[in-house]
Amino acid sequence: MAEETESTKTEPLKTAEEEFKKLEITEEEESELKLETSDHVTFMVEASIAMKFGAVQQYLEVSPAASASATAIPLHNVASRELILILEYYRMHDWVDAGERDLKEFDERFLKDLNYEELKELLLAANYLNVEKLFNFLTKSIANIIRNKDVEFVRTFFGIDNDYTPEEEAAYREENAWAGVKFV
Amino acid sequence: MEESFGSNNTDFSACKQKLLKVQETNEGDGTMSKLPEPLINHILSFLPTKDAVRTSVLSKKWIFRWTFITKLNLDDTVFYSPKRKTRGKMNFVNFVYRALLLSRPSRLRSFSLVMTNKYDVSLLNTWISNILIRRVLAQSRVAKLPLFGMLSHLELGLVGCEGITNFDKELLNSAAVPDCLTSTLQVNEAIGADVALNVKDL
Repeated sequence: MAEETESTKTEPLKTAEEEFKKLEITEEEESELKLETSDHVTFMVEASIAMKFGAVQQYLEVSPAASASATAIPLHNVASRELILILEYYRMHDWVDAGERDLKEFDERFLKDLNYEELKELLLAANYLNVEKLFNFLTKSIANIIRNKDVEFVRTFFGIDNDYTPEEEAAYREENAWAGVKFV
Repeated sequence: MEESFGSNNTDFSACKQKLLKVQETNEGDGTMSKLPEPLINHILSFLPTKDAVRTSVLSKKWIFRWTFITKLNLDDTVFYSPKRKTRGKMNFVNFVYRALLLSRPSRLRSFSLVMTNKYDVSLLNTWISNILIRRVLAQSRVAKLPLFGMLSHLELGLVGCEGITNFDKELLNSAAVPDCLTSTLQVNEAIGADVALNVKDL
């Protein structure tokens, strides 16, 4: 009984994964671009996805030969770990059959799997690659994380050294109370 | 070829797990990645303006960082709590003045003013004039700097009421705002017929 419920639960996911693979297979015929990350891992990426990366576009503008040749396009500031996540995100969002709800669920899961450090690293990579959709998604998500959090949390999150003395900080809070902004 | 992951690799998720694990073990030196300023500014723009202003207490470097935000969302509802009913209005007024005085006109791309309570009409006049003047200034810069082209997305999200709308349109004419700005002006009429009455009475 328990097994049955389990299987029905995972079924949509499974089919999604199969679709995913199917998609990947059909796209094999499509042209691919070779990308090399900062830690020297090469990825073969569908051109349709790679061309969404501003950094790749820019590189190809400067040296168009790279699209056909075997030379890898170097991504100096993106590690393989980030590129994998970025590709995962774009493959899902590029998947024609993905409905709005699927994407929402995917986004939530995607975010949940990242710790704060990974999130920041990914944002840096997205910024370097110039991938707009993911960049906006991440910045918005970070804004949501720090929203309504106390001062100490935000300091830790951004790695800010508090250069106020306790007296200075207390004075600053006092002076700014007039604006109705409460510093928790 | 061993280290190549591509679309033809069906075991994508396994590779991912493996790599994430490898890198996790490489960490632990405690270094926190710090985000560069433009990214932080971008993040702050997604916060409600009140939360963005709050970041000024984080450190001395952060005192004026929030002033680089690109969206000004002035919403009085966040200033009214059942506990502090009496001071909410004053706090909001002071807050708006601070935000208007310190935020940088050249960076602002969108603006919204949401008011659910009664305010003196001369106060509104001052705020809206200030915004319009700044926008005209910003707009005049657009001609020289195409980078600020996104300014045409400005939104004036005044909550409610004909009173403010008419008043606003007159003001727009007198302030000689370019057409491209007036066409993107949106008035949200979802809430507040009673606000309208109050404005007219004044």
